[in-house]
Amino acid sequence: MNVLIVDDSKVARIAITDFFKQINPDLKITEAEDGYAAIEEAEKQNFDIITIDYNMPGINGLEIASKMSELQKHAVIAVLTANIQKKVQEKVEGKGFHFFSKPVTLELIQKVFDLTKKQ
Amino acid sequence: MSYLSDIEIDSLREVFNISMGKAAASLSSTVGEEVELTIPEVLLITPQEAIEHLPLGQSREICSVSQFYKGVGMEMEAKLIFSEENSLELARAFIGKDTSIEDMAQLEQDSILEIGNILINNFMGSIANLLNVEFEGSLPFLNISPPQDTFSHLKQVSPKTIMAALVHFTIVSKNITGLIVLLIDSRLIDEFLNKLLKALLGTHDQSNT
Repeated sequence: MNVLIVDDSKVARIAITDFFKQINPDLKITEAEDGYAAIEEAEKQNFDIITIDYNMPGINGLEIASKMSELQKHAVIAVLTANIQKKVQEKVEGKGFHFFSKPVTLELIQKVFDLTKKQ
Repeated sequence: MSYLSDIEIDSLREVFNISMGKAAASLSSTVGEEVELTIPEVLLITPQEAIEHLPLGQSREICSVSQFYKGVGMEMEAKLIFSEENSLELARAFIGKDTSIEDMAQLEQDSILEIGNILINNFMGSIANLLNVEFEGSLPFLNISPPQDTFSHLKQVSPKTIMAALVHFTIVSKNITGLIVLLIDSRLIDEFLNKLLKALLGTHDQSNT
């Protein structure tokens, strides 16, 4: 199973990777530090799960999620953000993406992982 | 605005208390430790008073993460502040004990930025949710400077008075203390207060409070 983690924070990527590996050590994880790197990766390979931070330099998380949904039609797309505003959550969920609030925990990543079983 | 009524101060304290509670819960979850909070202080002060008197402790260097927000016709700055001595300890609490010293050095600033991102956004997001508005925020940025320079950028701002909300927090077991400060141009605070009083008091007649 392939996972793409899009987050401008290196420690956030490390934490998310670590939690995914705890759930399933065989997952193949690819990291991207911004939307441009994420799009490049999504044009090269298929992903089952894509996690995306919301507030990032360049392209914001919602725009990246929209682009990802065009490129990766079968992937679970989850926006993981500290920006817990209801209006932001409504925008994300209104576009059909999953919304999770940071901080990232093992339980949160387990919820993201479990979404693949419902797809 | 140069004066806040008792009910306005009480309402501001309440919204900052609720929002910092949410932010503290997120910090606690991030570092796996209990976080204690002080009761929020609300001050109307001049920029010069902010530069000279906001409590920053005795540390030689201050570490701060800042984000600017726009919304409800206002521009605001939210700042997470702690001594530089606490920053490595805070980063270690975030990343975990097993990280090597070399890795810690590389990841310290990134960790502090991410902690600031989580704390400040949970704090500001809770305020926005309570007021049923949306704030547009900048990306967080890190600054390490002597205490007297932490608020020196306020020399450039135009308002004669600013509203400063201060909440101190402590990660008890690690003896890490810090401060969240929200700065708002006091001339633009009326709409914020109107929405706040409406959110907290509903249709209750505010003239009787």
